[in-house]
Amino acid sequence: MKRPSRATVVLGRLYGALLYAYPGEFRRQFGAEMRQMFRDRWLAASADTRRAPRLRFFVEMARDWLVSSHRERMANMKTTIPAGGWRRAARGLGMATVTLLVCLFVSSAFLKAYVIQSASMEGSLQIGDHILVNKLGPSREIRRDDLINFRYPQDGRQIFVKRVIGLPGDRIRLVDKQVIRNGHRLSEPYVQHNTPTIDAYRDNFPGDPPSLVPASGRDMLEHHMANGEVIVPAGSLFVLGDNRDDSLDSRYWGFVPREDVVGRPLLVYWSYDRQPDDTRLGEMPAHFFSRTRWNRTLHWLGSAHAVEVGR
Amino acid sequence: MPTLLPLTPPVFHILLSLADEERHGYAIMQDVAEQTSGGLRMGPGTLYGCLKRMLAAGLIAEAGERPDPALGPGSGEERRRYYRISPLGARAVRAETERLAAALEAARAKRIPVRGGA
Repeated sequence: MKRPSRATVVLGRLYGALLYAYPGEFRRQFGAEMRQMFRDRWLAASADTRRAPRLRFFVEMARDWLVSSHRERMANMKTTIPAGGWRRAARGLGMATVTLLVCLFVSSAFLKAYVIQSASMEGSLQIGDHILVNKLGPSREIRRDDLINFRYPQDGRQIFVKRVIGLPGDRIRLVDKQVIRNGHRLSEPYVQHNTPTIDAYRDNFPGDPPSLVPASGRDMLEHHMANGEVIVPAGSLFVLGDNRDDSLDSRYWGFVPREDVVGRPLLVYWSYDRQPDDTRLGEMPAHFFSRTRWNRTLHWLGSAHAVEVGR
Repeated sequence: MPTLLPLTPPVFHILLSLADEERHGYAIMQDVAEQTSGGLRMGPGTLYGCLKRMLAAGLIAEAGERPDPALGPGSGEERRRYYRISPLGARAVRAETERLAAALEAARAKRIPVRGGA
């Protein structure tokens, strides 16, 4: 007998653990067979070197587990506990909790939550916005104007949010705060300006870098410039903050490698206006209602677009 | 029997796959996927939930454990639990097939194009 691969063993164990979502009686009767079948299907899916069959395998198994474990829990409840009475209600609540946990587990595979901690996207995202990010990065191609979450090129442990201004091949420059992409001026409804002052570098980009521009930014200015414009290289993105006058972005630290994109922000699920006096966690419940920004809570992101307004 | 009909598609296709031979779970799933040209691919939970109810209704029965020589390397020598169709299951699949045949006739009479010809 050929020895099973490491992935096969690990997945088999994981599936074995997931079987605890089914009622005990069902698991004891069919659990071993279900594990066998799971492994058979995994071996069939992984024998193919392409990615699609594996992806399909995981989607099908997740759906099967979610739907059928709930169905079996409900069926189990109906047959083992007589209708009416508090026992059935309690059991129903327990079952619903299991289903909820199952849903949370599945959603955690696709979503991740972040809290906004800088004002660089103000206009679109404020400090204290709690956002959900769609982790399924490759589900669709990244487009211009997309908000993206990515690992900060200067420190991979930090996750930043900015807006995609340039895709590979795009020519970018700024003239008096105005973005010009491929020769077209952009009208950007999402942009916020804090000051009328024109900064020689920030607002007339690219130019002579001030001392705060790090090596990666200087590399961009040296190797990816032509005719006073930055040209986005293959596999990279040029991003800017919506709070344009107060944002450290591609103008300063250069391009974002495509593989450092971790997702797209989907929604603000809660926005909390933290004040200097509630630094301790215990303070928050007292101010929950007064400091929650209700108009920003449950607010969908990502419908703002720039328009090319001319040469 | 009348309460069993019409059979749901998964139950009908599982009975069909067991009509000619005893099979284990994975072989049932493969056969059903083949019958439906991939339209009905059952996961383990869905399949065994179905089998459980079919066992309880007496449509199928267990047929012992043995290895499947047809399975590829890695799992070929493992023992598997086989299932077979019961007399009641055989009657149910026959009745359902007749019902579907009648429906097909009715569709033809209404000139709804049906693949496979008359």
